[in-house]
This record gives sequence, structure tokens and C-alpha cells, in this order.
Amino acid sequence: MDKALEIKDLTVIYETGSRRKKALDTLSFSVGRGEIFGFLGPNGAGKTTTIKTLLGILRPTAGDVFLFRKNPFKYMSRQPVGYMPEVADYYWYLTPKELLFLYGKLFGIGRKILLRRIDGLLALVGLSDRKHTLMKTFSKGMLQKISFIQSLINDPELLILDEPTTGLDPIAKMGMRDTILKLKNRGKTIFFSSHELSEVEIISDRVAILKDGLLLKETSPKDILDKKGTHTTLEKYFFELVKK
Amino acid sequence: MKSLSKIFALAAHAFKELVRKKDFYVFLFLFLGLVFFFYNESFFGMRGVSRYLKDIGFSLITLFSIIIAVSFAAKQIPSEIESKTIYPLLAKPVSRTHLILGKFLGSFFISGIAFTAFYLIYLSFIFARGEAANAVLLAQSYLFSIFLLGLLSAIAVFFSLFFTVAANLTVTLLLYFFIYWYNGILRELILSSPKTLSRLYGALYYLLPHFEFYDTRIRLVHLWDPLPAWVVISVFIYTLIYISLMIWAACSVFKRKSL
Repeated sequence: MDKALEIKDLTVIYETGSRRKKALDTLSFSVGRGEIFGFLGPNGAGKTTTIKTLLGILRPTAGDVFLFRKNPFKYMSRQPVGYMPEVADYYWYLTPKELLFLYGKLFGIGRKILLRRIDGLLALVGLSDRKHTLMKTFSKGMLQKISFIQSLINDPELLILDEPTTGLDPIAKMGMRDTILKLKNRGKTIFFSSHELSEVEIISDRVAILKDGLLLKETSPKDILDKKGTHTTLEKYFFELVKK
Repeated sequence: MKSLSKIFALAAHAFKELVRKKDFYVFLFLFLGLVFFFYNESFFGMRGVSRYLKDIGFSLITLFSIIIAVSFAAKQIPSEIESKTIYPLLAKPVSRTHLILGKFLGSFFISGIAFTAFYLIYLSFIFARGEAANAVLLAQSYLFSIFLLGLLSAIAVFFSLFFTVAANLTVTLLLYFFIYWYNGILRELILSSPKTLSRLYGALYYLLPHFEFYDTRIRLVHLWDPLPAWVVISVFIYTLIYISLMIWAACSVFKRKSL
């Protein structure tokens, strides 16, 4: 299978003064095109650090990362990638349409296509009627929806989502899950980190479990669930693995 | 070409921020209030104060524009980092150089537009009072102020990678006023100090930006002759080189900065 992203012996060490903290330790895995890959781990496991390195925002101390076989530190390699951050205080003085327009322009998308795409994306999350409203009036859930659709503005081949369902109500969560599955059916690759293990179990083809910067397991939820008697859910498996 | 459109998109965003955040309007209304106050000549109770009014007016618009330029440039990158919007921005096919250039251009345009608005009001004030003015000198003063704002924006963008917004504002403004007022002393120190110290002062003299180059206030107030073209061109080239160096330094630092 062709690889959408690849991480080889990735090590990241944060240095603050004389203190050194190993955030990632020789992490290696890859995600094939068209896969939904769940990236799990407790807080501080190194999920966001991995994502920042994948996006070329953080330089690794050692090891390599590739997006579609290209170096993510070359900015044009991020052209086919969409990213939704875990938290971002989007510019309150902009409307969703203006935010999406700005981000679309950064992808070099033409005005006509961009405006059509913005309308489609706002309709996807039910915010068409708020497209001219300043985002300072938006709830956390609405901002999370905006954050999700901004990651789709370039119709990405690879979607990287950091805790995408945080702050969403159950209906919105279901909507996002359906959208992710639809994207997979269109051949898109989705790499996402989450604490919502039941969601991960439902939609992921494969998962990686991380703890203290180390990869504990890379497997498919199906394999875990097949081992009945020992582990019945991904959640139980995750807790047992992380507790060790 | 695509790089340029990305830089302009970032600059346009910075401009929108100014319009929506209304910082500029505070200065505009303050300036209008002061103009109205000074327009009432009886406040001074005498004639012949027009030079002072021209002087004060020009000093005010320069000061307000400098504050807008520095404060806006100083917060561009830190506010993106603080709000974590820097991550979705840099996850796009945008380099850190694009971001610095976009932020610099945005701040420069904003302060330029603010100065233009202030200057137009200032000119209306001068003409309404029937003051004598030299059109070439007025144009030169405008250009030099715009150059100065570009230079200060570039310096503030560079400092924003090291300092908080408040510290940056203080350091940049102190640097401006220090050089503006004490440049002559530095020149005297070069001439009067022992050789080693003199070299040190000399290096400092050439390294620090020469803000006094942009001062046309006295010329404007006292209706001196306009500057020759070669001076304007030289100052323009000096500004361009200094801005390029500051932006290059900012890009180099930002590329290595952990986010």
C-alpha cells in the first residue's frame, strides 16, 4: 500500500535550560493511503508533538518524517494536507467565511472555487446562516466545527485531526464521524488523535497507542476485539496496556 | 506569484484586524479632538502661532502613527502564538518567511494608511487656515514618514521574536527616541574618545538606524527648500536596505524558533 505518512525512528527532546525531556523516543509507524488511523495515548504521551513534527512545525532531534514521501519541512509538501488543531482561538474579529477565505488563499485556491467550497463546508456543519457573523459570538462547539471545516478547505488527501470531537455534542460528534467515513470512502487518509476510545474503535482501520513518547502497540481494533475473553473493548485494552 | 498572493493574503488579514479591532479609531478621534482644540486660535490668545500649530500637528501625527506601527507589528507573531492560530497557519503550504513578510507588510500598510488619514486631516487643517505650504516639501515629508514607519515596523517585527508585546513597544520606542535625541552625542563621542572606544562608538553609530534622516518637521514648519532628489533617493535606499536586513534577521530567527 502506498504510504500517506511515514515516521522513522522519530525522537524529539525538549530542552529548557539544563532540563531535557524526551517527548518522543524512536517512534516508527506509517499510515497507508485511504486508511483511518487512530492515534491514542494519555495526556503528555507525545501525540501533539508527533503531529507538530508531521506538519513541519517542530524539528525532530533525530529520525525522519514524510508526507507522501516528501519532507514536511518543505512547505509545499503540505499542499495536500488538512489539519485541525486540538485548540485554537480563531480570530474573533473574522467571520467564518473570512477565515475560510484566508486559509483557502494560503492554499492558492482561486476565488470562484473557494467561495463555492466555503458555502459547501458551512452547510456541511449547519452554519450557513452564520457565515457573516463574527466568530466572537460563537460557542465552543461551533468553533470546533469551524476548526474542522477549515481543515477541509483544500479538499485534502491527508487529514490530520488533533482531538477533533472535543467540545462537540453527541449529534455533532456523530456528524463528524459520518463525514470522516465519507472522506475515507472518497479515498482520503485520516490520521487522528483522540481520547474518545469508543469513536476510535468504530471508525479506525488501525490504531497506535503511545505512552511517554514510546509506541506501545500498533494494531487494528478488529484484532483486539477478536481476542474475546481477554479484551472486549478497545477501551479496556487501552487501559490495561497503559497501566502496565 | 503564488508566494506573493500568500503574503498579500496574510497582509490583508492584518489590515482587517486593524479595522475590526478599532485601535486606529481611538487615535483618529484623539487626533481630531486635538486638531479641533488647536484650531481655536483664541486658545493661545494671539496671532502668529501658526508655526507652532504646524509643528505640534505634525509631531502628533508622526507620534500616533509610530505608536500604531510599533504596537501593531509587535503583537502580530506573539498573538498568533498565544492564540495557537500559528499552528493551523503553518500547517498550510506557507513558509515561516511568508508569515514574517505578510505580518510585516500588514503592519506597514496599516501604519501607512493611518498616517495617510492623519496627514490628510493635517493638510486640510493647514489649508483651511490659509497657511503657506510647499507642495514638494509636503510630498517629501509624507514619503519620509512612510519610510520611517516601514523601518519601525520591521524593527518591531524582529523584536517580537524575543520580547513580549509590552517590552517590544518599550524597547522600540526607547530606541527611536534615544537615537532621535542622542545621535549627535554619539557623533561627538566618536571624535573625542580614545581609539578603541571610538571604534566601538563608530560601529554602534553605523549599526543603529538613523531615525533623524526622516525628520522633515523643522523644514516643513519653517518652509525651507525641499530636499534635493538625490537625498530622497539615498534615504529610500537606506530604508530599503535596513528593512531587508531586519526582515532577513527576523526570518532567520523565526525559522529556528521552537513553537
